Amino acid sequence: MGKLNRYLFGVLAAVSLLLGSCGSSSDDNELSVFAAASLAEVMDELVAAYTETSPGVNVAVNLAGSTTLKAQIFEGAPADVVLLANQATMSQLVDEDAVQAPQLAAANRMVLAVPADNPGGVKSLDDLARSDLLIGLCDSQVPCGATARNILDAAGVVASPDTNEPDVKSLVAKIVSGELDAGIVYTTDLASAGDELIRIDIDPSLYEPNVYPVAVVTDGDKPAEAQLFIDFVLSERGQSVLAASGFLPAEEVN
Amino acid sequence: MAELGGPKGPAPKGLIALAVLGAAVILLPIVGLLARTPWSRLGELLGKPIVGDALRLSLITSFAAAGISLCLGLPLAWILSRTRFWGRSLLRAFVTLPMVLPPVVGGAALLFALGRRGVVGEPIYDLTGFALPFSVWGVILANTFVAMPFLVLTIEAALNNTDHRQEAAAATLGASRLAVFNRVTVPMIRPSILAGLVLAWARALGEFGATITFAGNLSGRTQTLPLAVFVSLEADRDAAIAISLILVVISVAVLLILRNRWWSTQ
Repeated sequence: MGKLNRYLFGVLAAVSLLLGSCGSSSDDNELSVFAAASLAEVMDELVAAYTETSPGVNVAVNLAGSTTLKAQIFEGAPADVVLLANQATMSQLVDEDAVQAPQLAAANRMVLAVPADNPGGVKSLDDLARSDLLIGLCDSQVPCGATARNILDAAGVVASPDTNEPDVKSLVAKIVSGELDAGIVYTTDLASAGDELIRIDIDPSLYEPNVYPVAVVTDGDKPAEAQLFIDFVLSERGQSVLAASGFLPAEEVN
Repeated sequence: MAELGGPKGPAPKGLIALAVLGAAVILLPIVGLLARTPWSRLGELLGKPIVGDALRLSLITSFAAAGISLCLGLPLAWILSRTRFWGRSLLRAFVTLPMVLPPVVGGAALLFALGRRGVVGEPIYDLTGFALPFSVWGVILANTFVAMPFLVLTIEAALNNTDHRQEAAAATLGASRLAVFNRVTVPMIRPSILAGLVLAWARALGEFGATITFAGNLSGRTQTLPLAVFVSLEADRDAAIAISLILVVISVAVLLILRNRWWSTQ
């Protein structure tokens, strides 16, 4: 029995050692950036460009939905900078003094996306009312779904979606694979999907574009470094990285 | 602590401590769920249409998936256990693959195979105009894909452990192989068939990744309880907790009832 116990405790000890070594990998130079999931690809590029201009800084990015990030910050997660995909969530952080002086980093418009061979012959938003097509939207509880519904309401189109995808990435994947005939996604999704999708523009007067506010987290350890990163995002260099991924400069919607 | 048979003496403290820790890993999250449950608003939350729709759909699709798993999985388990052919080990490995595969990969694979642009799905769609994704049939298929391996494994293990002499005796007395299967083999492994059925049903009830990837998410058509929890979690956490509670209650109730009825006698 003693042998078995020693064995079991040995395993437990090994596991805790492993976990311990994972946990201790963070260092004092690390800037912790919490960013909305829809920024996944562009964050890599932003961070790469930033570390080029400011060597020695180590940026750790935590990606999640905006609402999740807000909850994590309220629960005391170690964040220095927060970059969200909608204004309302940032306002809630501001109301609780959890962040300081948010600024708009970028904006994103929406488009109607159809598979490259356009199997449903989709030409405009009106086609989303056709019952013979398979239509996808984001769920109304995530920003891309809420905006899509605002667009449809403003255009007077009664769409009956066949699926309400939990996030824009899974919606894009289903349009790219041709399982859906059309869906409303972000302009930036078209930029990353390349020629696998056809883009049909949506009248910008129908809706408010999505904006991405960025702010310093009040409880962060490095407010000065956090502000430097934000300054970089708002700088010409940072904005050109965002523009290359299809984001609009923030001043266009300010 | 009372002990059943075997060596006498108190249970080793080390084992007890680890067992308590093991139980805690499983029970603590449930305690957390119960602690966060808004009990006073429970009735109102459970009365939301999204909950009723998801509950009905979950019950229909999980039982359908368990039924299909039985119809197809029992013969499959029998073939794996009672016949010898080239590639049998390979087939067994692939049959259990969905247990290891992340369900979202399973859902994507189902799309590649049976979506309207899929290897098999495309000709079917071209011929009939019918496509599985985004339909209740898609949910049932995704559930079956992840659930059937549990049934096949359980039944195959039972078949491998049964005494072949009764089957041999029946065959000597002139029973055909199918008759032996129906009248000797199946009654002999009945408890394991039920156990496999329950495991498959429980797995189907909790299925999330393959379903949302292959069948999408539409309230009343493809939004099962786990999907309803997921989409509610960010916007309406209390509703998500209430739906999770239904899942816990249904699962515990069914597992307890079936355990008492069929498994305690073994």
